[in-house]
Amino acid sequence: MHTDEDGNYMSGARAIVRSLEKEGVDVIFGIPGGATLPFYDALKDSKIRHILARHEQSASHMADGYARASGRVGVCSATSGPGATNLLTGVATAYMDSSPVVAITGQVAKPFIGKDAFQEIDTVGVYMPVVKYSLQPLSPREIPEAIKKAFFISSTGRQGPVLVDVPKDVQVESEKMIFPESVSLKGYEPYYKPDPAKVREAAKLILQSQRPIILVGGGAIKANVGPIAVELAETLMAPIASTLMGKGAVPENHFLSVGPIGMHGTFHANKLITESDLVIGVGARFSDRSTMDVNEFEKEKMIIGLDIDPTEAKKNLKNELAVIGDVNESLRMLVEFVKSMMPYAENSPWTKRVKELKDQFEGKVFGGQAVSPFIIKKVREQLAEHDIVTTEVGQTQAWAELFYKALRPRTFLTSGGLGTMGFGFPAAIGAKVAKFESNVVDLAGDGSFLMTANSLATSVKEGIPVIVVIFNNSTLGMIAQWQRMVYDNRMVASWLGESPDFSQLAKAFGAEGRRVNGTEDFEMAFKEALSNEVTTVIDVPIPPEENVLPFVPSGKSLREMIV
Amino acid sequence: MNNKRIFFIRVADRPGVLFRITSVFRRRNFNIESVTVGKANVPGESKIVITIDVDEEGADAFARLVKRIIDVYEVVEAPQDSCIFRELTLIKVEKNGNGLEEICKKYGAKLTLNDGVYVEYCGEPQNSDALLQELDKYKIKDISRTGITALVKESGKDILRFGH
Repeated sequence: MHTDEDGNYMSGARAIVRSLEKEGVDVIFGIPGGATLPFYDALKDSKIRHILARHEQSASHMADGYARASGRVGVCSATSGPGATNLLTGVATAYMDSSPVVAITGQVAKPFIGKDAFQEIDTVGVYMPVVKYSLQPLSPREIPEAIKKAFFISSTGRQGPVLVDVPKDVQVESEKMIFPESVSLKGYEPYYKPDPAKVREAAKLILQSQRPIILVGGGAIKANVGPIAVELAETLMAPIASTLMGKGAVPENHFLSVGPIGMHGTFHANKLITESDLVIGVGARFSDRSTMDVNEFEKEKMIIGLDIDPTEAKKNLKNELAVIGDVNESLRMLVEFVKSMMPYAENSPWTKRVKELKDQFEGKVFGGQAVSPFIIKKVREQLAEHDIVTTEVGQTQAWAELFYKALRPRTFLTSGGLGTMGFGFPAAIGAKVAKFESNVVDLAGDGSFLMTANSLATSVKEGIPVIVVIFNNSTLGMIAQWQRMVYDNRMVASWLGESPDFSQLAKAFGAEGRRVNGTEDFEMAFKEALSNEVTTVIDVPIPPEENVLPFVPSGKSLREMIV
Repeated sequence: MNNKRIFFIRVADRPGVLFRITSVFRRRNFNIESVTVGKANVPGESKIVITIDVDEEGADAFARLVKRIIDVYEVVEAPQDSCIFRELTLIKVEKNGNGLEEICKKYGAKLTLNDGVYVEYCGEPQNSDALLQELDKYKIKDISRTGITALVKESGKDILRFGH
């Protein structure tokens, strides 16, 4: 008697699957194990597609990439013990970048919990600091509500990952099920209406300022405020900078866009935000990588912070006027106030300054010839607006931050908060599943790519073609750069050497692989890759001594850029 | 004036909630001076009372971080001066010596002489400290202190409240 109807008997495993179906889940990224066998058995009868990862870390990055590209909740799954601990890195990555992911883990049967059973780990305890919430249903009938809550919490307010840890016996046993249509959680208020008085105060600050700059962060993408941010910028004739996570919130080819600020921000964006007297933060959390020396950052300026999360108010800043609430609504109100008080901006000295710096420094490569920026520009040229790039972490990420112009939200996916090497490739696979009509390109370093390169098997077997461009300098590039520039040329453990041969590696997995010679060859190879029906790895030799510039060493202020 | 501040946290009566809350303080390397937990006057709810040494700005940040935890319904945070606060201290002494009863009387502590010698005191922590000093000569064998539990005074000032 295992039917889907409310009030009938159903196994816990079946209830998980039924709950996921009711949430509209179409794909799960995971690896089965002993403690999830009942769940996988129930999955056999479902239309939900399961994509088999080759390491649980990749499964969680895939779900995260899916979520970032689509805005929908990404689902990943792993067994107890090592499955759960492997999955953790991707869940933590999602947490740091507020990405909606639901992780379903198996747990040993209840009688074995706490007894160091085979493949037992205190998953709820281990995940505690890196999830928005966790649930552990202890009887089958608790499952429908637990899954419903997980999706609700993950996708509302400041989004984030939620863990559902299900003991094996709870999956096996059957009970009468009720599937709730909605859930509410006492004390959880995901939606805040912005306080109009605060918004008016913010508008007044804007009108008093001479040199305002808008800073869009990851929250601007989630709240989809691009057009309103542009409207504000055009009203004020103010430049729009972004954080690394905010890339694409506003089209980076807009005449007021100056690109990202921060450790690897553009020269002119860092310069302009330093010279500004007012920063209007939109869904930006003013992280250390963006502001660098925060005391210097705050000097002689006011900062307005629009954010959905009350804990962000004054977390990193002292002179902040925090406007807490739905960022979309806050910004709309703000634009209305500003417009009612000031219909349009004059061409001010500030506007001239923005144009002057932009004209001089946009797209400029510092420190002599570098191959990486050229490759990134070529990738951009050949991709459509809606195509997606992901990045790994390190030099390639910084080059991409500087030179890849993201033109739409959710087309530039990077691990900004946690900085997880190995993110880009599985995230690209997840993004491709979500947006199959888009080309998806992972801009990878050779060091990062090898961390999750076994996902090649997943992409080939599941027919999920993506393109990996490896910026291959045979080093852990950013480590080598720091050792050259900050550690007095003492090179330690940053040389990777010329193993493996990435094109051969790709071929061994049944993917396409090609090592290119020179930039023209790259253009050809990339064009070909775009028409391939299988994942293609393009191995691009990069001189190991190439440094990403500009660069603000940690502890320094944004005015102390090394060029 | 001390920097002690008291957090009153209404939470779901569920395993793991206290762990999440104390982790907020642990992560920033703040030592919790005392924590008491008990049932609230609403079924399904507990009330946690936490005392830490923190300035107002820090307290505000902690209160927000604690409120962000999903099973937390409300956080009220107040300087210690704005609260009435009490601590229960149980003391086991070696023998019922001369003058012990008088000392207990002076403090309003309760003396129990059944299967050992026990002193039970409820009051402000500094009075517990003073009592313990006086009891020293009777050879204290063991003590247990509950830590502070408190209520905000009707006239309390500088109260921060998050949630409802």
